Amino acid sequence: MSLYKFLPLPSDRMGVLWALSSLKGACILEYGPAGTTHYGIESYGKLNMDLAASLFTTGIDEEDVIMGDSGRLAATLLEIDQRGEFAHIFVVASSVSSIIGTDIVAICKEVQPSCRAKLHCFAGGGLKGSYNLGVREVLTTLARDVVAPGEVRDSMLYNIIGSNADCYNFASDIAEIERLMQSCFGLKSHAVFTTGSSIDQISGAATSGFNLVVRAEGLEAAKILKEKYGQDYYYGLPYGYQGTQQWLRGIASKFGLQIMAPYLDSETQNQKNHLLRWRFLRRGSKPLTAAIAGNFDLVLNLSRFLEQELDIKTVAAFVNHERSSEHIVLDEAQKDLIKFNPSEQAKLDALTAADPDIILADAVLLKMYQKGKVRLQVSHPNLQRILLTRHQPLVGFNGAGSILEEIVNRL
Amino acid sequence: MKEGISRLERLPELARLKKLSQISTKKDLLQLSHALFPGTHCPLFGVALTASLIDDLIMLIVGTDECAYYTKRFTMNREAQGEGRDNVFSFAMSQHDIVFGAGEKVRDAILHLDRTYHPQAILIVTTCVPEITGEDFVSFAATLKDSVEAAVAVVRTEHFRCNNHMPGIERTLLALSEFMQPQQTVANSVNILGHRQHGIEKTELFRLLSARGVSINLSLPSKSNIDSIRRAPQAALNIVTDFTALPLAQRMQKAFGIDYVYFEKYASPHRISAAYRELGQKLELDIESTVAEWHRQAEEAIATSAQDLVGKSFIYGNSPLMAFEGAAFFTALGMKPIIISARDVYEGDRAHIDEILARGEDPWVSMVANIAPLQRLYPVLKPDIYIGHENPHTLARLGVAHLVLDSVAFKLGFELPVAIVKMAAEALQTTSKTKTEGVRHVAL
Repeated sequence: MSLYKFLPLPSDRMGVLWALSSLKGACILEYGPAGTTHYGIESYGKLNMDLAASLFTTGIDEEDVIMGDSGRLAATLLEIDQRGEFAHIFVVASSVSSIIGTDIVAICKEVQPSCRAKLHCFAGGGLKGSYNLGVREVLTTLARDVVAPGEVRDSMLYNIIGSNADCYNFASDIAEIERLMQSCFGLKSHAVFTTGSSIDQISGAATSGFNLVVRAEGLEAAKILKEKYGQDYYYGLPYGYQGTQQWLRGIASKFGLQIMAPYLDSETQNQKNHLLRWRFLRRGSKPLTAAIAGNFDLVLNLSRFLEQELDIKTVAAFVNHERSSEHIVLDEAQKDLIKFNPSEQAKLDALTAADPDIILADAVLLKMYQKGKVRLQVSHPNLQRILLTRHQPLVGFNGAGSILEEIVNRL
Repeated sequence: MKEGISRLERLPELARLKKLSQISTKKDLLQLSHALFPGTHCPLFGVALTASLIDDLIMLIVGTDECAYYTKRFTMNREAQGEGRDNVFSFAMSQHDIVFGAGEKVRDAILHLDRTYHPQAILIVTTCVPEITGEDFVSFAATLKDSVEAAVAVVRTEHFRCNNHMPGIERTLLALSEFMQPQQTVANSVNILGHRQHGIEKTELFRLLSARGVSINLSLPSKSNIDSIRRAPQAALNIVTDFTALPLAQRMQKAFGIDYVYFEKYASPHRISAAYRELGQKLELDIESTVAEWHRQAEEAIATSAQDLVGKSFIYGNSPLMAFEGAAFFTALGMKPIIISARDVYEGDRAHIDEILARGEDPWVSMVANIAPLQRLYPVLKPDIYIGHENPHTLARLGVAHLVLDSVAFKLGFELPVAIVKMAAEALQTTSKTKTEGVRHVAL
């Protein structure tokens, strides 16, 4: 039964809007009822993200629905384009326009010759799948149609693919990844697909040395950039001390980079101190268990950190979206453990049965299930928390330290 | 001023709009641009605004994940802020449900809600998608009567048939009338219909009624549960404080013979006096001299605060007041309307429009909730004050005073215009102070 007491599964359309809305200089045009746009705008605050793109709606009325009149989409596109402010306009269908069968791809194709801006269509309308599918569509579209042709000019630069508004702690996590890359290799990020970046930065992404993919939904985009511009990529999300070490060594190996040994030595010493303290504090105590919920890459890598570095067994792991083709590479143990988009009741049943000590999850799950000694929000959906700073990561060495510190102090 | 206006007449953006003298119906309310931002809210939001205030009620939204997600988030937030209840459940339609129908699954969902949560009532709220596919949830609800303990009603919220959220409020109130049952009339008791804010007992209207021995049987939706809604027909009179409750009052008049008085959140002291007088007559209360004295005091307070408002130009945006009535009030203070944004032309608005025109003002009129193109015009239009929801930073940058009227929605009676004028004068003073002190701050 598709009955929800809490928040329903966000749709592909919502993923499209979330991923695009943080892009400065982008124009998003929704073709559908104005109320959906207005409602959506009011929810951006809970993503702890500024609406950096220019967002508009066409509105839609009974005549459009009954008579199939789609004239307002073309008229609105031409009006926006006339202002000459945007190089790219992203047209997003609604469930209403999808159901009445409006072919926004055909309309955009017809209007394109009269537009200076390049038009991009997202025709799913919220009926194709969960939000991660929409995020993937945006990342793929940006790589395929927005990144301008260019040769790698600056090997000291790299791009990050897959930091999006649905990644709860994106601001601090990206800052940590940038710090790691700077400290370990002396490299700087150029474009982030998509948080905190502009259309111009995305457009110029082909000139960077390589790409870091931090969520599975960005793999298709990275493959396109590799094929088109010879830009190689590394996929992984660095959770945990060893996880981060492996991530850095993997990048060094893939791109032939020299690790700055003093930096890594100092982080390794920190790691030893932290873990020594942890083991001392846990001596003689019964083993701990944890439940994790969030996006796929978070769940996969955070559970590895807990299990392999802290000896905390993950007894429940929920991915907050549907399983798609990017997620097929799971071993048997992971397949048994990681549940994609379980129902509210299935989550409650699993948690009640496992009774984990530690819950690292989204705000809805934390509201739904009130038990657990350590309860920490690590993922989206967010309900009330306002994140202002960029120095409280969950990834990287600092993220590992923060998570461990929270666990130690809340147990 | 005339020179300024004729300069504005030549702006191509404004040429899209009609002047107030050309406004007769909603069709005359035009947009400044095809591209809308943020756009109007939808009727589903109106339902959530209303039904989240009612105890013992569950809302079941039948529609897309997205509609349900935003509404749920809104009611969760509302509950966290102590402004309402999070009583939303969602039936998220899949492609299969859209093609083959969701009726049976929705029936299962309702049975589950009824047996698990035991609500007094369930409101099925259908959104755009089931309304396009044409599933008949009204007939469907009727078939549930014998299967569930809860009373069941349906509210339809297809946004493409109405341009804003007000029909959602209106339809929710009408749907609630289905739960009402005939009652013995309780003398000297009234229902307040349409008040959506907490603290009805703090309003001037309530205080007057209480002092004269009149009891409030029900304040719908602000202070209500399903049981009190069932007993609503006990009241001797309905007082309608928001136009969205007029159809409910009319239905109750027809079904239960209860008369009503329309006591809107008026800004004009004259209209407030008239509403009080009608109330006094229908309740047979001798309030004439009290009302006359309050009116005099209000005019005096308004005159004191309004001195700085004379001659100031304004853009009227989205506010809890009725747009033309509110604009007429500001015009009566000697202020100059440049643009009035309105969502509809309601019954009674003709008189408000004529009042503005009679003062020699003929502003442009635009459809509400399209701020983006309006923002581009601020540097040209140079309003002294913007009344309604806007980005405060945008206005502050341009030195435009900002008056948000949300807090006056809690008031009923002469207290409302007195508060408005005071707030408007303060807003202008603050902006003027910022303008003069701005240089000093920069220098520091």
